[in-house]
Amino acid sequence: MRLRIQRFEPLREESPRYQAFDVSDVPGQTVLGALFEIQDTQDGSLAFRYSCRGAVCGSCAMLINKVPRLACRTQVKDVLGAVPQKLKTFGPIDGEVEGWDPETEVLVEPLPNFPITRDLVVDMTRFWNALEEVEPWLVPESEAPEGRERLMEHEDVLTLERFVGCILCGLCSGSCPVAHEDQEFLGPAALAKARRFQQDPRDVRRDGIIEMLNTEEGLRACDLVYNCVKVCPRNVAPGGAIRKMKEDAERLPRLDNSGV
Amino acid sequence: MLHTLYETALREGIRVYDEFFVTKLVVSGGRCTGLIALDIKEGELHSMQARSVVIATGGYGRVFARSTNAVINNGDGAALAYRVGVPLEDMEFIQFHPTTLYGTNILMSEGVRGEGGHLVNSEGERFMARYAAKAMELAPRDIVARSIQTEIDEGRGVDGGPYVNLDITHLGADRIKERLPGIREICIHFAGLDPIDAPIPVQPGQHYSMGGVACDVDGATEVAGLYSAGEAACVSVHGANRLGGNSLLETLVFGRRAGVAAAAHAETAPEPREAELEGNLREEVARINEVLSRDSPIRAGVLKEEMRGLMFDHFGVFRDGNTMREGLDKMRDLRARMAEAGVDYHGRVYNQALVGYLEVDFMFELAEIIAISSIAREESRGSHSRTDFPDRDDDNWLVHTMAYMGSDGPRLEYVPPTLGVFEVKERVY
Repeated sequence: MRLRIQRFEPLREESPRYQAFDVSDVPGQTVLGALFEIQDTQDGSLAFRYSCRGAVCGSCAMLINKVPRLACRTQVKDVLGAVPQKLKTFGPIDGEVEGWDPETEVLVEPLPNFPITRDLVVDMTRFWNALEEVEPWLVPESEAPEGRERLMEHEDVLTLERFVGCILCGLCSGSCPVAHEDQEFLGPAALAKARRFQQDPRDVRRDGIIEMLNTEEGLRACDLVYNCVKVCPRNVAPGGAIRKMKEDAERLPRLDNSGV
Repeated sequence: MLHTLYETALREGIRVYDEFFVTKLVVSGGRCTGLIALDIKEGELHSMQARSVVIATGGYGRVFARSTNAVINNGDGAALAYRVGVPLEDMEFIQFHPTTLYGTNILMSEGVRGEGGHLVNSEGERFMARYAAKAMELAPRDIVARSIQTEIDEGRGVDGGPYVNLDITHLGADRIKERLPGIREICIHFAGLDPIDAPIPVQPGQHYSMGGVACDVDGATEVAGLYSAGEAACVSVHGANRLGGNSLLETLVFGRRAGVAAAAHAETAPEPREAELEGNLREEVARINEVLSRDSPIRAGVLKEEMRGLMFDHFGVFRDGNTMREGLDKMRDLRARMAEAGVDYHGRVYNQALVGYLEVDFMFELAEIIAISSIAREESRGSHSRTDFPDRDDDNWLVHTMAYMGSDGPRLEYVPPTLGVFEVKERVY
């Protein structure tokens, strides 16, 4: 099996290059397993993020055959051979790569829409800042009763479960054409996380969260392309949450201060 | 739980130093005054003053091949504490889970057998009938692990490989989809097979580290200002074998206590002097620069994989004195080669060759302690299963092992356990 990997060292090189590596054809070989094999036995200079190797930590988000995926839960044999692109394309997930033969090689590139630190490692500062900006924490009405939890109804738990499942891997941001054009866009993950608290019956903010997000960098930036829904490894479906919040925003009384 | 903790930390404005790798703890006058850490993204070493330091780096499962643990569970934190004189406690007690997915060793939970999964060897035999005729696949974890390992050791692994099959195909598609959707998803994405159509290849794998940084019920170690919590710590709530679900006890209950105690200590401890840290920083810069400058065909990554394999083979599910002593010799030979190993990337930014080297250096430290602690304990207790000493020996071995760093390797001491709440008796099945 062969991987064609994008290499890039911004401090020393003008532009990225591609390098092919052969890896062993063991049953169940994942793209992450192949990257470890290369790093341990062929080229220790290869850089990529990892932690759990079990789709829990969300560290190994990268572009594999032009689709943002977690390297740990991607079987090499499943992505060999040309597969039609199901995403709406833009810059990095469009276009040809010289020398890449999709029939025999898996193309591995860094997650789009973030600056490259080195090789497959990207700088996700923007992603973490956006998350902090939506204030993703519980704002309850009052202190919790001494030594007790604040309990929820089971059906409320089920409503939130989808959003709680987010592992903050960033695949959604890396697949988003809007995030590609607009560096200020908060992005699907942060908005879905905000929905998690907006829907939480214990949180007092409710419409306040919608008002906070109803900006040019927030809900209004999203074009409802739904690439995020297609690439999410945890079925969080951020695009659906954003659409619902856009509808919520429509229902809110207008504070028309746009001046146009 | 992890995400709620992260979100709460955001709310409190707690600064997180992402991708900083601690290379050394600084101890001065018997108290921990800070640490030296490598900023992986930039490649620079930094000193950080601290009145309290809490080690919460998780277990050291990756010292073994075939581990359910995350790839980062190398036990750096335990090795850091050991190198500043804190003993590591009960390091011989390593829990092995019977059914981990062949390849990635992701956990195939008890639920798969609970739903009626069959364990089958290369001859198509449900071999548990020979080990636990009544309970069959539902026998306790350690018994099932030893049974599977025996089948593999005696050449009845499927296709001659180091695994047996966990077969649920007879349950049918509907039941599998309804009752075991997570397991099915893992098999599809991580092993490339659908358990509706094909049996799941499984093997015993390392699962939990009962031992760790010796500390009291407030997470405090022998060094003032140094605390430990979670799987990295050894409060010894698990004794020689952890019961399912009890890792939460270690994180939620004792993790909280450690945090409260560390915060209280920080209130009263004197401000660390920056000069002490600067000397340590200079030493670490020199040490890391020396590693970075090495050009060698010997890769730490290759030595690591050899070491992990021999730890599993010599200190795994079954143990005996001869096999373990042989393993220790081989491991020390490998460790000696680390002095000659180099890194094949010399840049600063995100140098995983360097981080990998430092991790493997820590892992060898722990591997030696595990080996020596295991060889010394001449009995079988909990997860420590010796074929040459099959019985539990409360007269001589109802003690905790404390491994201190000595001048030429670990020095073992023994302390009596805290008893009195429950009557001590052997668990028999």
